[in-house]
Amino acid sequence: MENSARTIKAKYTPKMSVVKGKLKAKKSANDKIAINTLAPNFNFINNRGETISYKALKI
Amino acid sequence: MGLFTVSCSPEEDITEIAPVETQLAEKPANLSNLELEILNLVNQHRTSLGLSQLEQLNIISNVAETHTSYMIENDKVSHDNFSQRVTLLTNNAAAKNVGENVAYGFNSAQGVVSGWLNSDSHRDIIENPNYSHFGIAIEKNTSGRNYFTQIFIEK
Repeated sequence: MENSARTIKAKYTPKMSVVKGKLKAKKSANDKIAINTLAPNFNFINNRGETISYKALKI
Repeated sequence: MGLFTVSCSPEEDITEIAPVETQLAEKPANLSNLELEILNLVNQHRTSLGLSQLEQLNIISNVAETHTSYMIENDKVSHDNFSQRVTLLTNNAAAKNVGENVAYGFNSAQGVVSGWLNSDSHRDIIENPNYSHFGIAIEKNTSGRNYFTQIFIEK
């Protein structure tokens, strides 16, 4: 028997599950985008009705 | 002027329920004077630090426009569906890293850029040496107040 190996690149298809009443994307082994790393870079600064917020992701 | 407060939790942050679009047609961004002024101010700031200037890409501004419209429709400042924009920019602009600064209520380019630069986390995105391209979209809500989305990518 021929011994072969192949690699399949998964497309970005996050599975959804309900966590604390909200839909939360799960990270699968082949996800190119690390969903779980989205949260850390995130904040709001309020200044007399002026609001700013940021988010960054290293893919 | 009343104080506008926003709160966010990690659970809210990772809510991603809308389907992911994989293609976005590139069209001329037709940037407004305010949008161009902000891009210029950001590049002037980067130049003052010896960093490379960023190149505006229509595809990035178009993606930013979808989020600015979303924030206006939902009447809130947010990064909802950020992973969808990352996916769009990964697939259509070969993005390796993506950063996004949003803002609400500023009336001038200098005001909003100063607001971002006075915040360490926002300034880190503007001053990231790895970013090479950016885009922006600004729209007014029905009250005449501006919503801003500026997106940075590394190609």
